[in-house]
Amino acid sequence: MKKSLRSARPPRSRQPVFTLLERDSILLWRNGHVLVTAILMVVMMTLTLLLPERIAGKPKELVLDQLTGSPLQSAYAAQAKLRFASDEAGLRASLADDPGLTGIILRGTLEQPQATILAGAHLPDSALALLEASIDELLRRTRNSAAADTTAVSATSAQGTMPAVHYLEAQRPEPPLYLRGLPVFLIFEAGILGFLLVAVFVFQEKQEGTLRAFLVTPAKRSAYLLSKLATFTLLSLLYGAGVLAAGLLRGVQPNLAGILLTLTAAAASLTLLGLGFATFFDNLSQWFFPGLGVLVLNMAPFLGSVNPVFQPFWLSLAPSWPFLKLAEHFLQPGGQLPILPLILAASWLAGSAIFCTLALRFKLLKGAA
Amino acid sequence: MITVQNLRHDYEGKGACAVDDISFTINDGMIFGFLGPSGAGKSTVQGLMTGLLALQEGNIAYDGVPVNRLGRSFFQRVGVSFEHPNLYGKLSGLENLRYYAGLFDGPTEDPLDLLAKVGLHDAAGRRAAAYSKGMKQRLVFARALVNKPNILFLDEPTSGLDPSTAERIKELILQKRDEGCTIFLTTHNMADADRLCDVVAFLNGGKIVAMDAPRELKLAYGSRSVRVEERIDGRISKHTLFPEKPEEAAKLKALIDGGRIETMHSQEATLEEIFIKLTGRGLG
Repeated sequence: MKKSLRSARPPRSRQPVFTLLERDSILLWRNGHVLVTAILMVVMMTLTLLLPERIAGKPKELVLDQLTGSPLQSAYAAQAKLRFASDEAGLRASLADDPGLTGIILRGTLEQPQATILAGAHLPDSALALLEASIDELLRRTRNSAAADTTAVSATSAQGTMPAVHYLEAQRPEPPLYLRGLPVFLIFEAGILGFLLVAVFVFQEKQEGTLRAFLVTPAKRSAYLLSKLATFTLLSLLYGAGVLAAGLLRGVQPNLAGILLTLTAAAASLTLLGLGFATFFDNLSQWFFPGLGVLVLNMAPFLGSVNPVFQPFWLSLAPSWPFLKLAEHFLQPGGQLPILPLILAASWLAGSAIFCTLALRFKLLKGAA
Repeated sequence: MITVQNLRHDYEGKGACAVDDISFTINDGMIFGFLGPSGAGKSTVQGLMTGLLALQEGNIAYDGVPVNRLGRSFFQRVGVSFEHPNLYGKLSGLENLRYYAGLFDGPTEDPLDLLAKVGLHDAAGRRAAAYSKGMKQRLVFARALVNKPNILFLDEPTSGLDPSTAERIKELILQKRDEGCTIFLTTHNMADADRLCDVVAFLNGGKIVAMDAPRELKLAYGSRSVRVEERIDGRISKHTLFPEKPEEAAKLKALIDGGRIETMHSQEATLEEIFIKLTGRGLG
């Protein structure tokens, strides 16, 4: 105790923001926020290190080729892209075993085929149209291939006449699975956990009534805001550094400055948003459903990132979207900097800062002085 | 000097004023007691004076400067002890004081010295959440002193304390007054107010019903009496007489002349009795 007696008085030259920063860091540790973030970081690092480059899936269509001469089976049986049933009973048995499987029975001749589709569950029109187009394309290629055998046309034309695709931008190679997941893993903490943890922190202060004590000190509201911002941003950066390190081990070659700036901006923006949002509620119970709504909105771009087909316009309205897109860009450098995500990220950062400042001034730290 | 003029505050704006046309002045180095039951408006007045509540009507000035023009630097010289202990439960007592001291620019007290003064030195390293209610109250009181304030707002500072600890706190309050600190004391403990305050104001229903030095209030509103016990034929007979009434003064003289008096005590009205007399209600 004698030793701490000498150091009990805080240094006089220190600004209040550093005192607040020290307090927030201690509480972050004692509230278990650091532990939760560390666990999440380990999970994400593990995923980054262990996810394969590709997941090879089985075809979800089973074809029964009853065309005269079984030309499809002859041409494609050796390829893993198509699976064939030996007879209709076998096809139906397979469909019964796997309800996700779609059966295709082809009868007649290659020139005049009749296709029947057997589906266990309802097929949406769009899926049905895709399936029909695929069958047509398969038959067309098979016909061309047969014609090539007799007229000795080139092997290229035998593959069919797919339309030529001209890309307007330089195309990057298709990223491996772990690299597709990495932007999500990096932004997840700021977008989901950071938003939640800062709210928990504020509710604790509200419950303990310590904000009233803060209001009767000369410390400014800006010091309070900066302390929270710095604490949670630093936590996000430490988390991000761990996940990024796993990516580097995996061979990812990111634009480091770009990805760190993106991560900092994401953490700052979502901390400010979470802090401002939490001021309108007294406790976690009140916050839960509105907060969950924001979290779900924030998670939607992550789903879009995993499933590229899911890209509705409204995804870009989620706070996490621009940061996710920028992270995708900087993790696999090349091509032009995406302008829309850049503008939206800057807007979210500025908007969150203004929103949070006003929420603190007129709600959380409301006082006459 | 603190000047409060025509203070009025209506939380809901529906005409039900929590504080209604209150005016008073607190001279430097004085302990001003604000007494009243729960809901009388004491905390509202303290909230307005400390800037926690925005001023709606009336004026509050510190040395002539309106409270809404003081800015945050005003709090450099103000200490506030809240009725409900508002501490960081996951910080120790020492950490709570160190944190709070770090929010001020000027010289501060040594947190450990303060903890020793309020009897918490041995519990300095223990988390505040593990403190008893009385310990938390003392820690909040110590926190109010950490920036060496010259204006102190104390809201029920002895609430929940055992008599010896309460006495220690009262001594500290008097010590601060002797050092020149101006103290605004909110309490419903009339005995504390009687002992500590230079001036007390009785607050009821948002209005001040009486305000003066405790002694002057007793003289103005209390009736002095004399309690006499005499022995007649082996039995004790008790009398309470009011010498201000001529017939009772004569009776007292007769008792003295009779030579049978065993005990005789003068009695003053208490502040609580005066409050009840003025408002028709107690302080519970």
